[in-house]
Amino acid sequence: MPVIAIIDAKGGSGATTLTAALADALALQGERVLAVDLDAHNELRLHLGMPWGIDDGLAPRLRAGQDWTEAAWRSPAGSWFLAYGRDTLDDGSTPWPANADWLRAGLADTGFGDDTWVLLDMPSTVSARPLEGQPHANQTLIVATPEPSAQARLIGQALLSGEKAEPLLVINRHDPMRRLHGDVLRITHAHYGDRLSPVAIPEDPRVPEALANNTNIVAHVPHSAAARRIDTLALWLKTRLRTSPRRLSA
Amino acid sequence: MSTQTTTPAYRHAPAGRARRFSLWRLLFPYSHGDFVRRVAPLFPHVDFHHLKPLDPLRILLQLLWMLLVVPPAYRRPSRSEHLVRRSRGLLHSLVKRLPGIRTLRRITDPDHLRQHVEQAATHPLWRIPGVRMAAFTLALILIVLCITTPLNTAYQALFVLLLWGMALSIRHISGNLASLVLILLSAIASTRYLWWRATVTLNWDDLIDLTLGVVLLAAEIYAWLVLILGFIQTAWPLRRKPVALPDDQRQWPSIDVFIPTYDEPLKVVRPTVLAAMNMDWPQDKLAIHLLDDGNREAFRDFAEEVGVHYIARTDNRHAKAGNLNNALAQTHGDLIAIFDCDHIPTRSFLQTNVGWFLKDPKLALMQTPHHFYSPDPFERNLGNFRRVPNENELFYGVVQDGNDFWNAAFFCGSCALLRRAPLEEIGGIATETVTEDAHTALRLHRRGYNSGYLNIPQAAGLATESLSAHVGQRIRWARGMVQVLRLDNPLRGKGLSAGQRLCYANAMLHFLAGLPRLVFLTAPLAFLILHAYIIHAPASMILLYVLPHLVHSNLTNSRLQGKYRHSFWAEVYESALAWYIARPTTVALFAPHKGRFNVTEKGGLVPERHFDWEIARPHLILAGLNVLGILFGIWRLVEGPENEIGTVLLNIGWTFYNLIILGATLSVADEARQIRRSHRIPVSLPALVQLEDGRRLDATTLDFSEGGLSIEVAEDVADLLHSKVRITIELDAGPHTFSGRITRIAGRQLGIQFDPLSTAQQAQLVECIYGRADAWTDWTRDRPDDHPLQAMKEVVRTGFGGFHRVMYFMSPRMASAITHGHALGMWFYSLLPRTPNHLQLQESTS
Repeated sequence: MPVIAIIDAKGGSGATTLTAALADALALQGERVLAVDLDAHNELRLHLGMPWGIDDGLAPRLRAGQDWTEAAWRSPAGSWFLAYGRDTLDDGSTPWPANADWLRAGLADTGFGDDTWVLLDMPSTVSARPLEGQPHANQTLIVATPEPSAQARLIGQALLSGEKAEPLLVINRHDPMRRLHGDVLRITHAHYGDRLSPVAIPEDPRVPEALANNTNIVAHVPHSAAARRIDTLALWLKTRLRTSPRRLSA
Repeated sequence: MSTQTTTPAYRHAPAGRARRFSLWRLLFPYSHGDFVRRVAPLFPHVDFHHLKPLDPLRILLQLLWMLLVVPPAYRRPSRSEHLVRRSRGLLHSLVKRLPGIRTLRRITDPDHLRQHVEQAATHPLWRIPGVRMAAFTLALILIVLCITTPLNTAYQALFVLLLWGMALSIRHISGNLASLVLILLSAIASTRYLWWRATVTLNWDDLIDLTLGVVLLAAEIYAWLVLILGFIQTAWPLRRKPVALPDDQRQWPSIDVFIPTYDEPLKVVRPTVLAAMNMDWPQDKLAIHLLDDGNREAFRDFAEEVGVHYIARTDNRHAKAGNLNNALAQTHGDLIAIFDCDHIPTRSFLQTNVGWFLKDPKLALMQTPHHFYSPDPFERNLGNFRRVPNENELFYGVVQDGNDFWNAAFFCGSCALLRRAPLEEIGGIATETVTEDAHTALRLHRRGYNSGYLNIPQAAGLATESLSAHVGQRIRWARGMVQVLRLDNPLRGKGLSAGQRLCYANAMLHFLAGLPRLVFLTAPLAFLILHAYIIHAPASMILLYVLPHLVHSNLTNSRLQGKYRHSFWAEVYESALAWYIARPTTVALFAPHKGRFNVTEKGGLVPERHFDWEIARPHLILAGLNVLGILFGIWRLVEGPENEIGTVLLNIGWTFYNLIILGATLSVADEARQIRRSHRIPVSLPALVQLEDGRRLDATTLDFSEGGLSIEVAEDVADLLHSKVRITIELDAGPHTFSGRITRIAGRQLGIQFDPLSTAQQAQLVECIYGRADAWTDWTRDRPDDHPLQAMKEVVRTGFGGFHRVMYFMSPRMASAITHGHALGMWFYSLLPRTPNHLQLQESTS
């Protein structure tokens, strides 16, 4: 079960938006996907078609000791997701079990087999230490904007622990007409080499428009430049993690 | 948790025996869509979605036909057919079991054969001089016997069949060695024909017969010479590959780039200069020089603006050659790159070519192909641009690579690199003839320097615009080459190898093709009109000798040159030029110093479609003579003696062929209207389009023109006409952004007009269109290979089309009568019943 943690290099870089779009892109490519919202803002679900008023999710069920796998929804494009839910306890503590393997263990008996891609929408920005109870990921994907401030944050960061591979990076909200963005892209490429995604996701007003429509860009305008780049990004991730796990199990 | 979704169970159609066709099933009511799907294949000539008034009649006729004549595909195999099938299957399985059949198959496998033949050819036995000599002598004796032994009709027929069978079986083997064998067979067939012609078929008793017969024989000897020399020239193309440059840039030579211009507009020269500046080379070792023989202020200003050297002269002595020599004296680089002012180089030109100069210190010249991104008048007026290779491609695709094997690649005036020291040693570019380029290469070769050819198009330019300009250019080349032949005969003089002499001789002979071609176009008339036996032999013997000559040479040439020359088209090109080339080459042969230099006119327009009567006149006269010949032929068939019928038919057939070729040359004179100010150049690159509201669309460029481009976007757009866009094109070196306005929307295809471009942006645009290293590498990717029969069909169609066009321009009414007659015929044809679409029917009923 490949688990990819998707995380902002700096607040507002678009990790949640990209997690949802990536989940739908993978689903449209025929993969089984489960996107998991680990962020208390509980926004991932809004990108995947879940109505505003529903409070069910991972956190309330964990607090209540219920079976959290029952909270999985399916987006119109076919990806599965677990919302964070409205946390009943508001004392600043995280609802996660202490054992970092809780997610994998919990999914073991469900229909999400080894061929499922799990995307984790991470709660905070890149930092040296993992959060308490944060599930293990095979791979981290950092989402950064091509701004110098995000770049400064990236360079020199220690690797997240518990990982087998060094983090991958994707540039979001890229404006190819801005010289600065081109330069930043080149510098990033010099630092990250082939760990930088071959496509940058272009800035497009239809990305927030999609959220206003309770969906994401891949499901909303599948032929837009942004959606097609995300589709390519999904393909790239699949090749990076060697091969589609479905093939392996087949 | 229920993660499994239900997929609708796939319902399989009941598999069973194939249903027999029955009318009842047809007429039985299905749902409309189903009905159309099932019934439509039975009426391939009826479009059920758009029914026409007469379709009921068509359906009725088709039904009647199907009722009365059951189409074979729906019939059960008859008993006899069944028997044949069974016995065929039985025979097949029996043959399979025969002892040794597997071995036979293995042995006759083409790859296996190739391996064996090549092993035999490289056997150490051949290294023993005595064995070699013996083998050569034996082969020579056999060849001479094959050529000279007179045979009667039956034995000649057997010989022809054997030769043909050998060629057909060898054709399947790939590789150069098999090509050599084919060349040998073809040479034997052609030489045997010529020997027979010279020894048997001349009528010494009649002066007219003899005179005309000798004229035809001379033309045939010329054609034979060109064929054999061509074989030698292209038998073993070298196909040189680029050599990598050393990592240490200090070893890289310094380069002067010469861009000579005389009266071309700045619009044409500007992209060339900008592209040359963008070539990948250390900046301190690269100097661009604009050599302006027109001494124009605007050019001086432009050179200053972009930062290249400007060199002008006070006089124009020796035209382009003089212009280059003038610049040669003022510069100091190790190598000189020469680009005609409309040949735009790719950025990789120097990187690809210079390596060989470092590897081979005796290398004085490196030539690359001249690539044209616009159609020449033949391609434009015949409408076969990029489908059928043009003359130019034969030269650069096959001939130059063949020359390179003999170290005889020619300098072609542009898109080439020269080493300064050898060039200065021979006194610069040759100025004595109007083809200074070939003459310069000849001099370099005489001094013992090497030349190279790299068949990777890395510069592209405009082809000549009009037929008259094209003819003018060819006249100049022909005159120049004949001048070189007279003034500096490559067959004599010092310093050349035998191979080099032959290659130069063939190049020059090639341009003398005018007179012989005219002889071939009129030869059958000698018999049909004048009743002169120019080939004094019975028709059956003529066929038995001439057919192998024609078939083998076509077969072999198709194999050697198929990618770059389609059968029969070369005859069209040659015939179109024959009349015009004939006179200047003959004059130059006797008076080599006469002759002017005319600059090839480029970038002009053909304001409206017209027929170039002046250019077509000689061909019209020839065509008229041939029509007269056919009339005479028919008269001879009716009135003449019976024993002449074969000869008459043969000559009528020949005349008919000539008429088709002449018809095709007449098509060329129909000058298609050319109104586009700049050419559209197909370029397929990914692009990102940004609309005014910030939306970004993925797009692929379709083609560029000077002021804009057209693209295909990935999503539907509407209501965007005249809105502003910005388009970003990612190249390896970085993205280039241009802004403009949408001027045309057709589905997902948009036409975009650029806003005024700055010089820097112009340079970026030039890089996008012409500068990419891969700009021209897959130009011929979609081109079909040569299929002689297919090519013949196309030439025939073009030939008939040519006469139709002539008729149109002479009397539109008559032409429209023909068109209407044709339409009427097609209409009648559309009513006729035809075979149902069997495959579709099977799909829809199973």
